[in-house]
Amino acid sequence: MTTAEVARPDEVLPSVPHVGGWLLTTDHKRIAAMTLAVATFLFFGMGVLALIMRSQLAQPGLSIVSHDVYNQIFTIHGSGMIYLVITPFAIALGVYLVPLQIGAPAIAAPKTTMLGFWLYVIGAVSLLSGFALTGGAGSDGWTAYPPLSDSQFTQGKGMDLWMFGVFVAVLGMILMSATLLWTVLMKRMPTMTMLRLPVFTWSMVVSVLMVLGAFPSLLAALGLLAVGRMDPSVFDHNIWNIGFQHLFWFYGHPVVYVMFFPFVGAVAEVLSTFAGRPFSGYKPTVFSLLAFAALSMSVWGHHMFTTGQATNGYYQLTSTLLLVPAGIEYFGMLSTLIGGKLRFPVPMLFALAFIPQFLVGGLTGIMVATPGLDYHAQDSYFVVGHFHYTLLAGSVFGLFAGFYFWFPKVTGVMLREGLGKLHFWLMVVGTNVTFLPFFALGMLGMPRRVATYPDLPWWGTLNLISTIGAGILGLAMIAFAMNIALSLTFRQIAPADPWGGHTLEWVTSSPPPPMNFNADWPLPRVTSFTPLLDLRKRAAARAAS
Amino acid sequence: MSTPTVIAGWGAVNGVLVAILLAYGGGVFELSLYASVVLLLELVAVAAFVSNQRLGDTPPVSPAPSRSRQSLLAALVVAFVGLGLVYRVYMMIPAAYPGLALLGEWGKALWERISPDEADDVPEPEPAEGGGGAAGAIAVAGAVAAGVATARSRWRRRTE
Repeated sequence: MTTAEVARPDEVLPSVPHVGGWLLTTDHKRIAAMTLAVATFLFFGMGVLALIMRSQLAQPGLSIVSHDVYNQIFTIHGSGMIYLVITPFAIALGVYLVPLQIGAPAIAAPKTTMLGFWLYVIGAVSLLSGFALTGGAGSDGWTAYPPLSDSQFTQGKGMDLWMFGVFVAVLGMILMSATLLWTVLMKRMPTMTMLRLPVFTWSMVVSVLMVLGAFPSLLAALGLLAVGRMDPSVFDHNIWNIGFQHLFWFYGHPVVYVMFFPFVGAVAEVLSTFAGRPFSGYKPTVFSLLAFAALSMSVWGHHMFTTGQATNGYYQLTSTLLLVPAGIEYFGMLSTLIGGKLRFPVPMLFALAFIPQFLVGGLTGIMVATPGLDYHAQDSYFVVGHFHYTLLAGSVFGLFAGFYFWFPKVTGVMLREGLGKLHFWLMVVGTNVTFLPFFALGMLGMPRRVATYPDLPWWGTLNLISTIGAGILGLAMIAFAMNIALSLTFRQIAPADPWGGHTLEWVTSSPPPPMNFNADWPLPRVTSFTPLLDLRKRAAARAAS
Repeated sequence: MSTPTVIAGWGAVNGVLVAILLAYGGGVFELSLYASVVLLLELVAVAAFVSNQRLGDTPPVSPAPSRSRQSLLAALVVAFVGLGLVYRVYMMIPAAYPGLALLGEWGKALWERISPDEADDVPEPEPAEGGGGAAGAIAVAGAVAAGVATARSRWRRRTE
C-alpha cells in the first residue's frame, strides 16, 4: 500500500446514498456491486452447507443430518455455488469492469442489466426458500436428472421452486451477458480497438459468447423437466431422458468455463500488474481464449460417456484438444512472470496459487475426458476432487485475486494485508487438505452423493483428513469476513491507482464517478492494451530527456 | 477486427466443430442442438453488424436515466407469475399491479421518445405517491379479493 492513509469513516468517503438510488439504479457499477455483494453473501451460506456435509462424512456411520436433508444440502450447495455464486460473481465482475476498461461512460441497456440483477435475486430466493417447506428444498443434485426429478420420484414444491429459481437466475445472467457484449460492441472509446482490449475484457467477451450460446439450452432443459413434472410419462421415453442430459450438459460444460475465464482474465491482470510488465503473448492468448471457448462448446458429451448414447470418440478428441489453448494461456502467464519486477501483495499470492492448483484440476479433467478412465471414475469422489480443484482451487482463487485487486476500486477502501495473507495461507492449506484425499477416495471406489459410507480401509481416515481441511477452509472464510468488516469499518482510503495498474479503470477515482470519467479524471490516449503503462513509459521518457 | 467479426468467426469455428461431429457420426439430437446454436450465434453476429452499420463504430453517447423503475416492476411480474406456476394460478393475479405500472412506464417512455418537447413539460411523477399509489392500492385490493374468492371456491369444492 503506497499512498493509503487512515481516516475516520465519515471524513472523506461519500455518504451512502438513498436506498432507492440503489434499488432503481441504472449505474453499471452499482448493479455489479449489488450482484457481487449478494454472491459473496451466498458464498458464505454455501460454505456452511459444505461444512455440514463434511461433518456428516467425517467418519463412517455418522448421522448429524438425515439422509433426506443431506440430499437437499448437497443439491443446494452445488446448485448455489454454480447458479448463484461463481457464475454471477464472474459476470458481475465484467459488468463492473468492462465499461471502465474500454473507456465507456455506461453499460449498454442498463435497465436490462438491472432486470438481470433482480431476476438473479428472485432466483436465489426461490431456490433457497425450499428449505422453509415441509418437504424441504430440491434434492436431486445440481443436474436434476429425470426421471429422478420428475413428480413421481421427487414430490413436493421444493423441486418446483428449485426449477423456477434456476430458470430465472440463469435468465438474469443471460440478460447481463447480452448487455455486456453490446457494451463492447457499441460503447468502446474511439481508439479502443478490439486488439487493444485488456485481457480481462477479452476473457469476458468469450465468456458472454458462451453464455449466449449455451445458457438457453438449460432453459430448454428446465422447460422439458417442467413438462415432465406435470406428466411424468414423458420420461418413460428414453429420447427425453437422454435429450435432457444433452440439453443440460450443453449448458453444464460451458458454464464451467464461464466460471473460469473471467478469473483467468483477472489473474492475467494481477500477474502483469505485479510483474510490472505487459501480459506476455497477448495476441496468442486472445486467440487461444477464443479457441478454448469454441472447443468448450463441443465437449459436453464427455459427461455422458457411460450412457453409451454420446459420440465418445468425438468428445474425447475435442476434450483432449482443450490442452492446446490451455497450454498457450499457461505459457503466457508464466512468461509474464519471467523477467518481471515481482511484488507479492495478497492479490498476487492468490494469482500465483491459482496457476498450479488449477493445473491439477485441468490435468485430472483430461484423465476423466478419456472414456476408458472415465468408466472407472464415473460418479466417484475422483470426479468430485477434479471439479473442486477446477472451481475452488482454480476459479475461487482467481476470484479472490480479483476481489483483493479491485476491492479498493469498487469501495474506495483498502483491505488489510495481514488478514489477507492469513486468509490466503489458510485457503491454500485448507483447499489441498480437503480435496486431495478425494482423488484417493475416488480411486478406492467411494461413490459421490452419499450421506454415509461403510467402514472400509482408508475411507474413514481420508474422510477425516478432508473434514479437517474443510474446517481450515471455514477459518479462512472467517478471516476473509473479518477483513471485509474491519476494512469497511476502519477505512484506509484507497488512491485511484493503489497497485500501479495497467488498464483504464485505474485512471479514474476509487470508486469511480457516476459516468466513470470526467474532466477531473480524463481518459488518456490508448495505444495498446496497457494504456497506463504506456503513459508511465512516455512520462519517464520525457523526464529522462 | 470488429466485434461482429469476432462473433461471426467464433460461430464459424463452432460450425467447423459441428461438421467434425457429423463426420464422427454424431446423433441427430446432438447435431441439431449444436447446429442450432451456431445459427443463433450467426444471427447475433448479423444483428451486431447491422447495429454497427446503423450507428457507426462510436455512436453518440446518450445520457442514460440515473433511475428506472421498469426493471423492478418487470421482476415483480416475473416473481408473481412464478408463484402462480409453482403453487396456484390465482397467485399470478397480483402481477397485474406491477404489470400495469410497467405498461404505464413503457407508454411514458414511448411518448417521450415520440415527442420529446411535450414530454419535457410533463412533471416527473413521484414514486409511490398520489394517483399512482391509489390506483395501485385499488388494483392490489382487487387482485387480493379475486384471489381470496378463487381460493374459497376451490376450498369449498374440495371439502364438499
